[in-house]
Amino acid sequence: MPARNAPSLPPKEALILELLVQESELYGLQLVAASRRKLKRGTVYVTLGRMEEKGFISSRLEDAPADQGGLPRRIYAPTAFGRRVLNAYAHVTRTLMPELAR
Amino acid sequence: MTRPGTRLRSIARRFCNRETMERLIDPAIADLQCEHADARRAGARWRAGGVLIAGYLAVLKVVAIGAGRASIRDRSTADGDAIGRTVRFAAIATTSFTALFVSVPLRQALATLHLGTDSLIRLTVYLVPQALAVAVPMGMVFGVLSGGAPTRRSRRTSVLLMFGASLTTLLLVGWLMPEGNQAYRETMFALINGVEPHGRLALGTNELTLGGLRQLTRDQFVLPLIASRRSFDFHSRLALAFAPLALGQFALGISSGRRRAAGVLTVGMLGLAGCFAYYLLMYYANAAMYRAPFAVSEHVPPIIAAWLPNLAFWVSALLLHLRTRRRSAADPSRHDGGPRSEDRPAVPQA
Repeated sequence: MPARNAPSLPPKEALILELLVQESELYGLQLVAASRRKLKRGTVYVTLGRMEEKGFISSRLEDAPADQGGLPRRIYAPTAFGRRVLNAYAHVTRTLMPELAR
Repeated sequence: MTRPGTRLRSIARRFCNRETMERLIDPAIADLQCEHADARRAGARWRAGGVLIAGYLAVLKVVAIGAGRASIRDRSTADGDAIGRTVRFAAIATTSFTALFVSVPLRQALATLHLGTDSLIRLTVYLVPQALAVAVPMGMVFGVLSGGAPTRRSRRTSVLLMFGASLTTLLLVGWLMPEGNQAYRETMFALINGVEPHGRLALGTNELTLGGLRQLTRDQFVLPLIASRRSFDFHSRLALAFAPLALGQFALGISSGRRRAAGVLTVGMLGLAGCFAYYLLMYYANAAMYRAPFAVSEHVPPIIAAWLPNLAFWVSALLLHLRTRRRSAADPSRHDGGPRSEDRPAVPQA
């Protein structure tokens, strides 16, 4: 069985996971709005793509409203693995750096 | 009315692979379209405009990141790292030729003058623009020949690289080289005579910027020969700026007909032959215009003579391209377009 590296969770990915766990499903733009300027709309999709590769989140396409048309929107949700990683990250943060724990 | 981001999306499709489009670009554009539609529906025209600007900037950033990250990585694999090889070899060849072209006058200066480190560095810096102006087109030939062009996408990227090299050469021959040449002359004057020149030395043709040369062509000359000569100088300088495009297209024409990238020896031979042919055309165009026995400057417009090398190489490139297309049509197994399905990702257009 190939050895897998322990998953890393940079602060932005942790923030995205937190928001997704709270709301269960969000669009990229909603994540930007909910993050209170901590996430930028120019980079959030790149971060989301990377998180999907890591298996932290999953996404599905949602058709645009019929009267509006346009491209289908991609909506993101946390995976069980992502939730576990976030819990572990929160636990480690609380244990090692209690002053930073939220 | 076209939905916002549609054109940007079609441009992004040229640079990004399907996965990048689906995961990065399309979500960004879909959110932009949705936000813009909401703002318009609410009747907030100014807000809709703001959304559009912010959205476009964000999408542009996503395209830049996506194209630079996943797409190039995947493209490297799909094209056998053709573009990577082109860039690497072009950089190596350009650096080598620049070093060579700088070293020749420097060695002459060192043979006659005692140069301190400071003077040596200054002279080297002044010589670099003129060396680069010749080395960049040459580097482009070696780069394209080394990289090959296995797919349509790699050919398009090569042409973009050529445009970049041409713009760089334009900057060099138009402004940096004349300034460097003049600074070199004045420094040499001070080194040889032991005193700084009083004011600027009179500018020769090679020390005039493109604007200066252009101005000369507008001046009235009694002799038509001088007017023709000035015009030839101006157009020759301009034509040299587009040498990377002409030489590169020619190299691309050779590469397109090959299934595999050429070996180092073949690249070296072909590259040197191409550059030498270009130089010969430049030399003989000048000689035919103004020297006996031809001296045809009265009958041939200077612009034609100045652009002759580029025109000759573009025509050759076109013939090579047509030959490759004919062969591909005759033998589909020779199809050199590479994996077409990867060239055009099958993402439905909005």
